[in-house]
Amino acid sequence: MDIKKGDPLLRIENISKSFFNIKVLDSVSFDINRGEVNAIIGENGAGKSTLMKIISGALKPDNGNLYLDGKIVFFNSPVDAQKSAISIIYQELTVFNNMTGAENVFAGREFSKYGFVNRGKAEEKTKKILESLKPDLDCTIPLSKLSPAEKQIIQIARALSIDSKIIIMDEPSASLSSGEVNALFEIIRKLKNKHISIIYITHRIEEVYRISDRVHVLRDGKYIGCVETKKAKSETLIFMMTGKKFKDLYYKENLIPKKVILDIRALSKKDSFQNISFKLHESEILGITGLIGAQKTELARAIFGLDKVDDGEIFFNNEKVNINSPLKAIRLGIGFIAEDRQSQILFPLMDVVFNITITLLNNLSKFGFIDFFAARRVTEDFISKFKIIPRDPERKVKTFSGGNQQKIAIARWVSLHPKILILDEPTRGVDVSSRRDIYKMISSIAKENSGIIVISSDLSEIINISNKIIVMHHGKIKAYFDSNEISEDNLRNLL
Amino acid sequence: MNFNNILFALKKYFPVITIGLVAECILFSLLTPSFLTFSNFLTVARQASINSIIAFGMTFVIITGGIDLSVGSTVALAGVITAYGLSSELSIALSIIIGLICGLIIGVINGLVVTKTNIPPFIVTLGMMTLVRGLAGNISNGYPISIKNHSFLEIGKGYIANIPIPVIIMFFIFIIFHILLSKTKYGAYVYAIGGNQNAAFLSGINISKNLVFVYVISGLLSALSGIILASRLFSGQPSAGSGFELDAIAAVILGGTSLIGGIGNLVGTIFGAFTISILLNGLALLGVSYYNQLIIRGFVIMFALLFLAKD
Repeated sequence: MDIKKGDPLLRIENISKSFFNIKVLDSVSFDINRGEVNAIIGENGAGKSTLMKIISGALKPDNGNLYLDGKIVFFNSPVDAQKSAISIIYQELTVFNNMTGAENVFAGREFSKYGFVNRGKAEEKTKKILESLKPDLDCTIPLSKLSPAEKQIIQIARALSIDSKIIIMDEPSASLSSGEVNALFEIIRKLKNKHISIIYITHRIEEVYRISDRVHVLRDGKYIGCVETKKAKSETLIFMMTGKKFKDLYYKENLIPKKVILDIRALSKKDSFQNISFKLHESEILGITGLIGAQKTELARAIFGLDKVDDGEIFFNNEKVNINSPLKAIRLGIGFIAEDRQSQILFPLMDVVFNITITLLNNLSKFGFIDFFAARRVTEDFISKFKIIPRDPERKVKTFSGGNQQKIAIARWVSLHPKILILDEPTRGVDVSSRRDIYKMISSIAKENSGIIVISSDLSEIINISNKIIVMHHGKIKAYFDSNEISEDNLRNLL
Repeated sequence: MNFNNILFALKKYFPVITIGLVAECILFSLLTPSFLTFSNFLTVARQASINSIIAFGMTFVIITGGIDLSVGSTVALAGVITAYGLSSELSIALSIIIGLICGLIIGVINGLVVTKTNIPPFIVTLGMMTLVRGLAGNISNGYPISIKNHSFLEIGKGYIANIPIPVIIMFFIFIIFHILLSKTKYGAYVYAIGGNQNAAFLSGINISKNLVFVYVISGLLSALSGIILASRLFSGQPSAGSGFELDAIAAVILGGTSLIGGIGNLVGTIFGAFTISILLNGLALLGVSYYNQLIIRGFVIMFALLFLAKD
């Protein structure tokens, strides 16, 4: 693989961007060369997506410039970027599900005469492009009938149809099976041969090794550096991404599981999960993992009473229960922290005191009147115990970082001393130091005789914080391990 | 104590609309001598009281992200029912109670339909608005029902310590419901449901119960307002309260409550109501014609909302 020497195709110079006084990108500068696959890695919140939005024209930087082929460029919208041959394929595929593949490829650039659209021409051209990508992909059917991998290929076809010189792929493997990822990498190699540069955003280090020529690292909005992939050691990359050595990333204590607190037997829900059986003990952390589509969240929702089940039984503390609403689950002592904390858990416009004590109000009120002093005291306890920063109980929650918001969400449940706490992707969008704080929080709750279920698609995380692991696949339990019985690689191969 | 500190303290306790209110007062004081008098202030307050009481109830509903368009019709129905009771020789207390019960029932129905179906509050209360207006017309046969009971008429025209009784009622209602909204757990649940209904549900808050609660408050306070109005008009009128929902909503929004829900309070609402009342009072003192008043009022509200939206 020859890396073309000469002037860089794209130069990024001193790009900075802030949102609401939070600096998301801080003077980022680096180059992208022709015909290279450049991986950009970084933790959640490092600024990768924001940087890509700026390069592809969806956002304007506060400072800094972009140079394409040596000439300075200004993008007022994604259309400008596309005219300059930069395309982006987003993680949340921005496609028109109701239109066909060909219509998607040429959306906004339809072949038309006097307003009448020539659909046939679009289909002909799309088929030609698909020949080099996936010849058997039908571009005449609506996108809703295609798999996520196929939708992605349509997006790549679109980028090619505009003669893109740079294609940005933002976490492309998130919803793909390992077979589909292999197919994607084949396509990327073909694109390289056409001298197209690929910018590949990911936080999965193993993909970086498989496909990239160089890897750039972002951390907390700053550009840390770049390494030639051949020469990059994984400890180095992790250290660049997190600023921490591997041993400081996670936290697990030796817990001694006590009695069975939750016994799930043959739980099934039509079109979702089947025959799920497992036991959860007090003072135990059970990790549930699997790809997107494994129905892990659906299982959690059913246990918390949000969805009905069609078959199976749930035993709580050895008594059979029928959990048909969150209220019932909470009364039993089950807490649930949903994946999307902003839209599902937090009250962004209210302050920390409100967010933490809202579930405690019954205990904090006399004849309905809230004891605000007590509420504030409880909140301040949590702020110092869990290191919620900034330490201002009256600050509105939407102004806190993702990690601190998550701590606030967890603190709300901790105050209720739940017997079981289910956390769905608890460290998604959380910075590295907050993550360790959260693992410690989880551990301390478990030590107080709670049973914890952590759902996560981050294999490294699951292995390093759980005592037991369940692997789910398409709604069934594929495997059940003690966490010290298995390595991360073996776990990955199971998925 | 520098400027920033003073500004911060002011911002905390006074809604943004205060600037507008103060500006109005200054403007009208300069334009006409009859504005800045004690008796005119009482007139303003009395004018504001009817709308304010309705607006207090509306505030609760809007904080939950809903809206109640049936308040104006409830004003009419409550007035008609109370007048009917009085004309049938029922005691004052009983007549008032049946008037309030109307408001309660309307609120319960509004709340139940909103929570049990997916129909947006706008549509539900719009339907109720028409239904209740029809009911009021039906019961009264389309004619105003005269009220001759002198004690009852004292409510509308009487004074206690030189303050009109409607104004005193307004302040009591303000204090009771302000405490309810800001100091009790029921108030906290209202903000929770409005701020993030999903999160409120996941926190174990009973959405149905609390939503019915806010619509009942709106219904009850509209009925109370209708009873006071009937006293002032010496009759229960089936056409009363027409358009009152818009005035109430205007007062609530000017006071800083957002239609999206989750934020707002009664202090803002009472300031909003007074801002509108002072505007109308000043324009009337200046001899501005009715339709010109409407035009100016519309402009002022739009301008104020633009300014508020920047926050």
